[in-house]
Amino acid sequence: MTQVDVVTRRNSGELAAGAHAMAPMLVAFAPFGLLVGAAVAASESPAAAWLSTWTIYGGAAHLAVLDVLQRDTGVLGAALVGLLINARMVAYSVSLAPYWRESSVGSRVAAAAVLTDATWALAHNRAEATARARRRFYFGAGATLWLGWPALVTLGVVVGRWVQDVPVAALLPSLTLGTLVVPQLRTRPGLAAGSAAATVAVCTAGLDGGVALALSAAAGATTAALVQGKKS
Amino acid sequence: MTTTVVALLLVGVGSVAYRLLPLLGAARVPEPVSRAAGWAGMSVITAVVVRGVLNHRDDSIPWAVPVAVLSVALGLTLAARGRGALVVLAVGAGSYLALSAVLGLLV
Repeated sequence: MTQVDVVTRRNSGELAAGAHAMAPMLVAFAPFGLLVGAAVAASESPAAAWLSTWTIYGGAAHLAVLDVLQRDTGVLGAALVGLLINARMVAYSVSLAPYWRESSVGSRVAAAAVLTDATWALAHNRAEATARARRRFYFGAGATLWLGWPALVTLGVVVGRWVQDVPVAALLPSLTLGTLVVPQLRTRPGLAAGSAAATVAVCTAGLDGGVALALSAAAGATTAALVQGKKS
Repeated sequence: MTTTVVALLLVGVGSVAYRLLPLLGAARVPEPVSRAAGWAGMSVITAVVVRGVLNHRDDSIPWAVPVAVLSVALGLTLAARGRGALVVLAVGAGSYLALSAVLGLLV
């Protein structure tokens, strides 16, 4: 086996590992994707709502915008809700930046296109890997979701209504995302961030999603930074 | 219809910018900022999990939120012990259904 063969095999191995890690997430996100599809079908402009699956690329923001639009709150109100909920993408993107410094602009655009909660968290949990291996893994996971999520939403346009009558389906995204957070809680700053964010989330459960998430992010990051500062 | 298209377009363009701009300026992002953003991202996901459970609605059973809290806590305990996502999902969803059935019989 030549050196090129070894490198090629290692690269495709990381891609496959990413796809393999994302597959169960995709199963877990299925009910949520179907719900978003049902909202797309009920929208005033189903084509625009469906095409937004790739640009908004976040089920919570997509669902919230479509829901707000149904209540005639206007363009700005709906856009603000969606942009607030998706503002977490800035944090994800900033935290990925060190691993993409050496990459081409095309790679970074592709990385941005597939960036969302599960893709980011899976890559974030792979801290021990090299930057190159991590990027490969990220693309394997990201491409799987980027193809799978729109497929679920499309399926939901046709059959999404029935999911609304199955309450346990609404818990699956929490369980799935929870499995991504748990490994982060093993470090002291991670545990501090998680505890602070959970406390703020409990206190702000009645608030609008975007504002509550921003407050949790600020509390978690600040607490983790304080713990990290004390440690070092 | 125009309202819908414009709103979706605004959120779509904004969301793409959120993802793209920090990565395009990756060379200029200092390490501490990137680390803090990682904690912020983890905090957001934690909050999404907590909110998803606390805002859970199920009119078919009493105490839907405590049942959801117990079920998700059970599933995530297994996740902390290294079980895979599918096991966590099966146990979490299974315990929710089991607890719902028990409550349905008792109440």
